[in-house]
Amino acid sequence: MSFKGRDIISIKDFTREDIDYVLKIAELMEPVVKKGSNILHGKLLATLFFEASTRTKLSFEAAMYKLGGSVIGFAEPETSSIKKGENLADTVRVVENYADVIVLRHPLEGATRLAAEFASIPVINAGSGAEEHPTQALLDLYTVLKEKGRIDGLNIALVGDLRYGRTVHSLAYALSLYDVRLYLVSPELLRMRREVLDTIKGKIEVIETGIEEILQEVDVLYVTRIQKERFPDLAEYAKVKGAYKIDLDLVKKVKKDSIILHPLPRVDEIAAEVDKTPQAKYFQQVRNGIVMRMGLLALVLNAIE
Amino acid sequence: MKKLQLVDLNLINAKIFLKNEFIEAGISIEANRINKIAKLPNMPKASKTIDVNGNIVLPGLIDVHVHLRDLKLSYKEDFNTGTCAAAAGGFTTVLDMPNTQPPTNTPERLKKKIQRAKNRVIVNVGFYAAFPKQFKQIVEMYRNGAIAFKVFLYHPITELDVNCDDVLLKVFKCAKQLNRPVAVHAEEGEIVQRIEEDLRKSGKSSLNHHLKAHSIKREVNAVQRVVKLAKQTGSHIHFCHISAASSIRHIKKLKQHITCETTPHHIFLTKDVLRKCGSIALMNPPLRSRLNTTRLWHALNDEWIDILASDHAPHALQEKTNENIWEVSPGIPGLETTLPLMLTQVNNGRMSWGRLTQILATKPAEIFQLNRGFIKTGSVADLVIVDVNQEYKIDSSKFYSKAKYSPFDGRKVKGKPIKTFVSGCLVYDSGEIVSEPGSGTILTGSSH
Repeated sequence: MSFKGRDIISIKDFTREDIDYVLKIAELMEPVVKKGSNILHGKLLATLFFEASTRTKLSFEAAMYKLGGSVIGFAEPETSSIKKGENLADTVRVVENYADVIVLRHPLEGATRLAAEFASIPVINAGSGAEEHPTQALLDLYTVLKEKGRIDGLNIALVGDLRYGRTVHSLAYALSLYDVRLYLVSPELLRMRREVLDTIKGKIEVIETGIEEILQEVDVLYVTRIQKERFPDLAEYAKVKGAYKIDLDLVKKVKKDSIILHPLPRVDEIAAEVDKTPQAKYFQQVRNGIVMRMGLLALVLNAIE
Repeated sequence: MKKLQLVDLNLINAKIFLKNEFIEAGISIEANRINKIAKLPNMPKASKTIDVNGNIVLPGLIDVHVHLRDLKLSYKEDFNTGTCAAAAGGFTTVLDMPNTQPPTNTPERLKKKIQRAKNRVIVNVGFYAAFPKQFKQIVEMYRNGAIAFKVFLYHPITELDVNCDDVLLKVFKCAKQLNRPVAVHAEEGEIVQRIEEDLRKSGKSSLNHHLKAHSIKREVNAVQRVVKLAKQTGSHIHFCHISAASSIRHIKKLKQHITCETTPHHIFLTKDVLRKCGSIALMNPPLRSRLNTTRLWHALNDEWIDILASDHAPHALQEKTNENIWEVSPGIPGLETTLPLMLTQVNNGRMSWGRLTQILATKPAEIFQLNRGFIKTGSVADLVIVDVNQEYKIDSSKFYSKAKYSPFDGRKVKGKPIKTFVSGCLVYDSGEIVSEPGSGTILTGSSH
């Protein structure tokens, strides 16, 4: 299987075999995180962030440096020629002359796909609008696999903002390629988007339910932040904020060998007291993020097969 | 010269659910069949016209799991009261189960049962047969009119040993040759009966003990066993009243020829209801946890479960109430509660009209090859008219069924069947049965 030159835009472009392969490559990167490598020496990554993000950008940059590559880019479009009115297609066609791979985040849905159409170098989606975040989904799957030893046969709950949280959309698509039972727990206002539901429902068992009912059942509790900036109306945000808070009392009710994940940053949906519990795996998730991104960069730049 | 056309009946001013959307039109009925679906000016003249007042017309519903009883169990229900209950509930076709007294397990008994039913039923009825003792009689069962076969793994009514895989393989193969489905009550009967016996002997006779004997595992294991055998034979197996959400993944591994149903009580009631209703709400398989119920609902809505069937299982009230759970007859009436419960869900936006007609008409007809369950020109005029706005409480004392009890008693519902037509004849009209016994047709497997 070759990923050489491939754009990573949507998890929907992946088959199960693709994902399994990427997960395997990520595992190979584990020892490299500490000691570093030179397989991407001379390669340049351009991070084009049209929308605020710290950890995703840092994670990609760290991954690139760990493999011996270098990074250029911007995170504040105000300081770039975007401010002067340059369109995305032109930006990409300029940047491809410098870099070997582009990582792009954009507030508009579909922006990454458009960029990929213009670019002759691989483009990796680091989040586009409320749509998708494929590398997050891959690192989430990698975390599940690493912690639970398998993905098939698990009961997985996605909790919180399932409507505007792009990580859960990509994750739900990815999980529908496996043999899992998916619980969706959210306020009515933040239910999973129709188009995601329609795609995954015929493939896996999907149950929209309350959180209390499933605590004994779940192997993976995937909690998301209810994102203020996604709400058109702040009064609505106030209504649902904190509705699904994970605290110590709640963690006492879950299975001992279950895991709690969160794409971070969190606000108060997981209490700090939960961090010490054996179920809390969200910081491991961050570490797995760099491993996964190292693997992806190495794959699309054809440094590993 | 223009031919003068005078059809039997025009239904005018109707909202008809056609191909996933509503159209405002009328239906002309001639010689028991739909002759035309058209706007008023384009409708033929009719000897009789019924104004539907803008209400919704659905295909007549089909319930593939009904115990009409009769014969020696007529005190529980008989062919007339059972089919009246069906008509009042919007069902124009029901399939009757063979665990009667005497059981429908010989060609002769089936023949007699059909004879007796003929002049008594007011909706269409098809009959399940249990497998006869001799394999060669299976064809005779079919020729005598069996619409499908039924295997009870719990309390079998055939003299064949249903615990033996070879026996099941053989009867599954026979059914396949006849192109008939085999409906299976999937519970590990032997084990359940042994646990029941142990509990009974040690004086353990509460509702919880009943749940214990009929645990989820017993169903899932039986489903797995039957699926494995179905795989070997390629026969069409239909699982009755799936109650355990975990059963579904085993069933749906073989999509083509394995189908299943669940019941309204398994998607709407949890075992907590037992505390409130007591042994009235006892049935096999029993009610489960809230989460299981939620999962079943989603599975039904998302097309993992093919259809809904009421498992209308009437008993005399005194058979439903006993301190000793092992003396209680399992089952509840369902024909008159199913549609109102489901219309309420449609009204709440929890289910689409399309899915509702699929699970209660189109798919049941497909699975049992009944050649109905849809509204189109030329099809049999089995129709139900529903008033989606009527709000009321379920009241079992008003049931046409002899079984005047229900765990749904007092539940608020919105949506009511107001008129039921069987083969173009009005059989039920606003609370009244308006047809004579015998207006229903006996459906047989060999006639199509």
